[in-house]
Amino acid sequence: MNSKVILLVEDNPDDVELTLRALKKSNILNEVIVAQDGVEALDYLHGTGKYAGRDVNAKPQLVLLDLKMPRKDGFEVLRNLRSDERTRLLPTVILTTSSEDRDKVESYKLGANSYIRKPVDFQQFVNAVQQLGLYWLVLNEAP
Amino acid sequence: MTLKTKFLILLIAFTLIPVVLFGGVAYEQARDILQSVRIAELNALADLKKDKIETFFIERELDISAIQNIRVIQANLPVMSALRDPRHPLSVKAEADLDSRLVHLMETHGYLDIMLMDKQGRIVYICNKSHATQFGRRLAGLGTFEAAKQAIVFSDIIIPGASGDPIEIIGAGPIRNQRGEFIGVAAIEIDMGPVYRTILNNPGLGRTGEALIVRKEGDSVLFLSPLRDVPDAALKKKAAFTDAVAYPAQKAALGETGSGVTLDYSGKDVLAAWRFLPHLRWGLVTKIDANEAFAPASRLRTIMLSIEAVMAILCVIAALTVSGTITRPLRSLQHGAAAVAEGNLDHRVGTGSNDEIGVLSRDFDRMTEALALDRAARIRSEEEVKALNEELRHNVRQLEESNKELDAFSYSVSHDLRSPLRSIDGFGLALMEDYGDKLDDKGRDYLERIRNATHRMSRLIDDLLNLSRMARFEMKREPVDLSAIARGIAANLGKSRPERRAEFIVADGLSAYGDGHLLAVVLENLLSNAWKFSEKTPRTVIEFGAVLHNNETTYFVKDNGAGFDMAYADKLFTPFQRLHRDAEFAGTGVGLATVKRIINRHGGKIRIEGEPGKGATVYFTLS
Repeated sequence: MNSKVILLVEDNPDDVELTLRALKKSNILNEVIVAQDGVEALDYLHGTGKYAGRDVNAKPQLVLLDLKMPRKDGFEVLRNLRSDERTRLLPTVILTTSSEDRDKVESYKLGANSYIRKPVDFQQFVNAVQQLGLYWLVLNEAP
Repeated sequence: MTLKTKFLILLIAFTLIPVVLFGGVAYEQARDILQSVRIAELNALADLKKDKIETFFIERELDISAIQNIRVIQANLPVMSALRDPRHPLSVKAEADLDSRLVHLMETHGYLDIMLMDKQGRIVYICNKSHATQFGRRLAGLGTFEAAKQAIVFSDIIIPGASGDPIEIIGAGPIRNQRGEFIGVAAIEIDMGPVYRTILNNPGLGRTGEALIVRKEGDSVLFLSPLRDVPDAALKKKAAFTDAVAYPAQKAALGETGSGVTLDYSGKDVLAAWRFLPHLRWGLVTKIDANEAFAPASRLRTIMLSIEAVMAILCVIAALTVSGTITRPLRSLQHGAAAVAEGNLDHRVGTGSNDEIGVLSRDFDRMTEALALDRAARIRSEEEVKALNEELRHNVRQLEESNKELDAFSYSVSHDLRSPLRSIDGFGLALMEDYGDKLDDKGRDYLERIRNATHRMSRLIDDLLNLSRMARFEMKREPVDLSAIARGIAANLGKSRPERRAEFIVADGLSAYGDGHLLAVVLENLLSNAWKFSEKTPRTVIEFGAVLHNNETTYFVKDNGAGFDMAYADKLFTPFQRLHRDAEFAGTGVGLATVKRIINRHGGKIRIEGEPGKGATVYFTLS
């Protein structure tokens, strides 16, 4: 049983569903908070808006961040994360459909810890998530 | 050297100099001729005078001879000399006898006097009664008298004491009686006037012409006649033989005969002729100043010099004029050239003259016109080029816009198309896993097909994106080590399926000049294809090499896989065209199209050969 939270920032409900399913299939039982766009994500992290009053010190162990989102996209969130002292070291994995080099470069530039392409093949996706979980939640020592 | 100078030199060399030379020669010739003529004249005159004078004195000699034979003298001389008293009646008679004979003689011959002297030299008879004071005068001892005792002699010239009296010369000779005994001397006083007149009368000899008589006296020359420059030179002026003047006089006095150009008694240059008169031992000289003698030649020279001066001036004028007529148009031509060189193509030189320069100027203007037309044409084509470039830039901008749109398009494709695919596949799998047992075989089969279809579509999208990216990619040009890349790909392929028996033969040192990334894509595609299509072959051999033919390198990737029917070869490079079913060999059919596009962008060519069951070989070149 793990009380550490995974923050999933994803606007596509299908992808949300599939990711959750994949996590479950990988035996990753952490609580998953879903933010549907950048604004919600930042609200959660900063304890503002929808999540006003939340204890911001209770930081998630891992952020799975999509890039293409309405209102505030992944880059903005990332920028925001990394410029805030509280969230600067937060492990953030970009999970996106884009295979564009420039997105990859930009993500790393802005301080993402990792960049994963969402494969179409769901089985592959499950494998990826499994490895993700294994690495970030178990192996990796959080800052 | 300017044209002016050249012309001047030419003119002077070919006109003035010849004229000067001619003038010099003419002058010399004239002088020579004049000299000859004048000398001849002088010689003739000298001879004439000599003859005249000699004749005169020969006549006087004859006169004296005649006198010697006068009986009256022979008879009366002794009487007069014995009596010595002119008043004695016998003397008076004797004198009267003599007078009757001699006065007539004296007057007809123009003698100044006829005298008789006795053996002792006393004058005993004077014919010219105005000289009566001379009576009784003794002349003994005088050279002339003594010499006259033996033969007829002439004395020296005698200058009268009183002015107005004529210069005279005495001719004397012995008187002998019937028995041949010397009884005395007879003398005639000869008026030298005629002689001098002969000498001094020189018509036609010119202004400076003169004749003179001289006599040797000791080591000097004594001048016996008046000289033009020294009117009283007679018996006064002397010139020593050692003097550097009076050469003609010297020579004449020394008895020489001759003529030539020499210095006279004043040191002037003269033409002279000299003769010797042996009778009197006189020298005779005729002379004329060289200046006067050569005057015509000098005049000629002056004329020549004037002509030459005028010619020189004319030469200069001609040179200036001619050079002007040449240099002026030349200069305007030069200005024209300078103007044209600076870009002014409207400048016209224009020359109406018909000479070569005029023709040149008109041709020059034609050339300028041609240049102007040329320039106009050039400017037009430059503007065309500019317009074309503008169009080109415009098109490039449009292309770039297009590309940007394509970029954006691909971008959205990569995200937006894949998402639904992922959902389809994901939920399909979820459906399979969670509710698969509730489905029959057919249902599960259908689900399987759905999932496969989405996978295919995803690959297609990826390949399409790649294909379009290959077209937009900004190509670099650098040396690329193809052997290294091929070996890397071969290693990866081998590792992906280690259990396969496959051999990769990669030639060493294969390199090319092009885009490394794109060429890697080419090799990746070709080697993966070779790897894929020889899956079913027990022992896979894949070779990457090159052949050099006609200075062109042709690379090849050869496999011993499934091969294909050459009849369909041209379809292979078309996107999505496949010659095998997906069940046989998975693939979207885009790989070769991508490879072809990259090869094209490098300016190369690609072709493929194959044989069913034996394998395929892809040949390509890069420019």
